[in-house]
Amino acid sequence: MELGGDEKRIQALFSELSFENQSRAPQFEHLWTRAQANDTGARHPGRPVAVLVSLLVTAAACSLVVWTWYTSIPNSNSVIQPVTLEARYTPTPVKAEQPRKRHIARRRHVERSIAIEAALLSNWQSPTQQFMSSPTDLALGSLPTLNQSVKDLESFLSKNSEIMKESNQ
Amino acid sequence: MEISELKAELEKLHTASFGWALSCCRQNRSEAEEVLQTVYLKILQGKALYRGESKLQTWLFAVIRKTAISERRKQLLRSLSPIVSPGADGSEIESDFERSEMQRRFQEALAQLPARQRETLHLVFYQDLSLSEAAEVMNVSVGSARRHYERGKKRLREALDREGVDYGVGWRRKENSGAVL
Repeated sequence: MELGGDEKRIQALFSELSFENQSRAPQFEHLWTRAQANDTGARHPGRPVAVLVSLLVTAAACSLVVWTWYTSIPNSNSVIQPVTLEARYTPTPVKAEQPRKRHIARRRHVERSIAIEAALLSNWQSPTQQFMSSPTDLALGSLPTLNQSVKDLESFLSKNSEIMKESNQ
Repeated sequence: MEISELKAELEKLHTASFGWALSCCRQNRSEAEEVLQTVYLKILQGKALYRGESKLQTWLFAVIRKTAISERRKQLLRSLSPIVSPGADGSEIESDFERSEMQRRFQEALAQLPARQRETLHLVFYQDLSLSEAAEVMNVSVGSARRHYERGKKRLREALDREGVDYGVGWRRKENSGAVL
């Protein structure tokens, strides 16, 4: 494809541009040495930073996974636990930052109230207790001794047999 | 290719590379220097590796073009961010060369063209590459490069007419004006 008239003119303009650029081009050695300096300067500090960043990201991801796994497991302690009296009156865990004295005082107060309540419970009597008592309680509540009953029966039978003999004669 | 050998070849192509870098950076000299230095750095680090599958010039020009595009993208991102670095707002897009009036108008006419058309015209008319070589540099098909070439030529002619560039007078004809393809 031969260049036409317009193309030759366009090429002439580009040639002039090329001529101007050639005189203003920077030195090759200048750019090459700058690139070499950047190469040695930038290569070494870049890698440890990249390694550190990747390590941090990995650690963060691992901790996130562990935390998610830990929170997803149901707490085994919360499955059916008998509520003891002590446990009932044990105060809810106080915040760590609260002073220790306050914690001890509250605990003593709770222990004192437990002791009072225990004493009241031991002396408690039902208001219907009197209806449960009866005059025959003593007889019903005691059992005769077995040997005594046998002896009584023998004496009774021997008396009865003598009386029967006398009446027959 | 050994690095010393490659360096010697790059030195031979340095002026042409700078011209191409200028074209990719819209005639901004400092930006073109930065791009060319980044290209040399890529070659030194082995990020840009010449395998001898094509001409060294087309390979180098393709690397320069890609680097210029990526640098332009970075600049655009920087200009969008709240902290604007000096010179990143496009105020230095204009060339800092003192050109003749005709060259200035020619540059303005070129700047009106789409990037692909401007690049094709530069590679063909400035760098004396064939259309297939230009297509290789731009990573497009030869047919596509030809379309960019034809449309670019037409639009440049119209733009030059509008700018009133009398490009038939006072120009230095290049000796090597052979076939394009």
